[in-house]
Amino acid sequence: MSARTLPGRVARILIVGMFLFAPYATFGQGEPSTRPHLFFPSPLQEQAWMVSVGFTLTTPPRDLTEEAAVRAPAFDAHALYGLPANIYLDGRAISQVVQSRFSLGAKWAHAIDRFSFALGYDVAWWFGFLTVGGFDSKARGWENTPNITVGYALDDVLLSVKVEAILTTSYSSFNGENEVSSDQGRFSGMAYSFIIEQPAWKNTHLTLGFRAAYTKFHWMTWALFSTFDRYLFYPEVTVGFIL
Amino acid sequence: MTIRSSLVILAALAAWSCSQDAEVVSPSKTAEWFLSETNPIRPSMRTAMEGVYRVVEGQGMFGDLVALKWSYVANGPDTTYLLSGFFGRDVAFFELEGGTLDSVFFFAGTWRKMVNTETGLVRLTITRSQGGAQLFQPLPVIGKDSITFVGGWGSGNDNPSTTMVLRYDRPLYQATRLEIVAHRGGGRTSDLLPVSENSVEMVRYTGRLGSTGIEIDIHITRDGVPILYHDSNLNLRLTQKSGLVGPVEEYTYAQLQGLVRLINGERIPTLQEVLDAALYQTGLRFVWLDMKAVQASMPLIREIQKEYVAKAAAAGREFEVLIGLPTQDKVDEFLTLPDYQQAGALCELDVEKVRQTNARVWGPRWTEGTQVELVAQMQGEGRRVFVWTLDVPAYVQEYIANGRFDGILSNYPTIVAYYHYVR
Repeated sequence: MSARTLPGRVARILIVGMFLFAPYATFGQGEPSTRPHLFFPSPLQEQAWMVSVGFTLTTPPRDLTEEAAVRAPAFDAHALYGLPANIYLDGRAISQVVQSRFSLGAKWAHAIDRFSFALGYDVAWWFGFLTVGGFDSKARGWENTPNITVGYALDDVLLSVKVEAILTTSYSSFNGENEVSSDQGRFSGMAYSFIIEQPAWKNTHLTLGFRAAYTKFHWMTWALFSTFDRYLFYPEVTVGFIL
Repeated sequence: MTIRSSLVILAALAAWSCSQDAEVVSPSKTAEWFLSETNPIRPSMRTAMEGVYRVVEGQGMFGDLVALKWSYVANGPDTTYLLSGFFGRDVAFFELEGGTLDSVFFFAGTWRKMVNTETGLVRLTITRSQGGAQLFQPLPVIGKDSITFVGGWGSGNDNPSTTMVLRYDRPLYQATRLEIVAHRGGGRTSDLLPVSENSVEMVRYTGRLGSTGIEIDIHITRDGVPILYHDSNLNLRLTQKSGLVGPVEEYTYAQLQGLVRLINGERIPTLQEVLDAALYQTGLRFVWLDMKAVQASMPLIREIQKEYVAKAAAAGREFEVLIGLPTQDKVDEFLTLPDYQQAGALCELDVEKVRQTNARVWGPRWTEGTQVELVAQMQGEGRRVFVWTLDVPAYVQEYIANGRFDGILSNYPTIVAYYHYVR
């Protein structure tokens, strides 16, 4: 697999695919799911909520962090809210106190027997600040992530594969009195996730996910002020407890 | 399916997901044999053709302006002169060798964008009517549009057939002096340069990136030899597989020489090897010794500093070696030197520590901003201020335009050179 060329190709396939499926969006007839899930692309009952809390652990590439291994877990809260016509809202907050990301998007899902899929579009705003240890820096930005999720329901386990395009639409950073901003939307890269959702104990359900992002910019590394304009690999592990 | 099974599946996925390293494939320069048939370019010609040029053709790839400057690498009786071009787009630069034949100047070499992996070949000429004749004058008179480089560039090993035209606009900015200090001996391994960071080869290489000085990372081997290496531990980020792991300072110099090679195959050099290369083989005039050594070593480093100050004076070279003080521990160690007031230091801590150590240079972190008033205060005390480590091109532009720094430490000396010289 070529990390340099794959993201662009997959992004094109993703965007074309979304246009092809869009006309069917209002006609989906999948059965709403009552099984606890946050990533599985099943239609949700109207006005139903699904909520999980947990953590996400991202490992930035050594080209950026060099000798230091920066791997701080981030608090991760995730919620879905069912709307009519197999559409649901998808909101997520990830925070490490000094940097946080909030996203909100909509998905349209369709189920065919044990298979299901969803088309979605999320918009995220993130910010970070560092004012200690020789840093007087802060940054913020907007990110859009069109995405497709495909799922398969086993008897007790929900398996999902999600593909996202990462579009950085704006970025501003401040150092002391100096500001640098960019409002040019650009394709930053792709992310591929594999998620397992299953019962854990008693009535508790668990989300376990692995996300492989190949991107030129990852919001969590803003404080490293990367200048690389090449795809770097960010593995990410997510653990969530569905409430 | 149990939780344990799920975790095993995810772990297998994580291990399978690839993180292919990017690489820069150096273009082959075998087609440039014709340069060996040309005559050397005289010093007066080299000086005259330095300047800021408008990119008349090729702006889409490289930007609107380019600063052209010569550098050299001396190797015994052979000295290689290289014409570098520093562009404002994507931290691009080219390095060309050149020669003359029948009043025509021929240049050939490679270009590279430092922020990504794009590279390729460049060939340019200056014909007699496009400035060649003027450059052959004993005292060339150069003004706007008086020199035009015409040629082409290509991607990878492709023939450089995409047109590039550069036209002389104005002299390089020289009203104020800025030390362009290259990080890690001249360049970072993660930027995929053809030579490894903190190596003798990198010190010889970095002049073509526009560097006027270098920062190097000093550790001390178990048997007391000062060497260059950035990380605390031997690792595959900086070295080829050797089987050796753990703190670099736990190995003897002989062990490191015999068993360890840097990522591009070079040996880990001693401090003296690097200072010799910088002093006698390059035009570098400033060396910042970043003291990463865990072992106490200040008296030894001070002796080496004195040795090279004397060698530079004997060689008639402007060449300054400063002891970097990045932490309070190093400041404390430095203050134990009997002659610390005279020893040149570069202190990265606050201005009170700069005064306490009588450091010649204050080195604030760039994330603290331009700090114009404090910088002026330090300069008023006869000190200089070098900001570190400034890489983001927009900030480099901002700090050069609105800051008052005497030097900038960067992994991208080419972009510092660009924004400085086109002022």
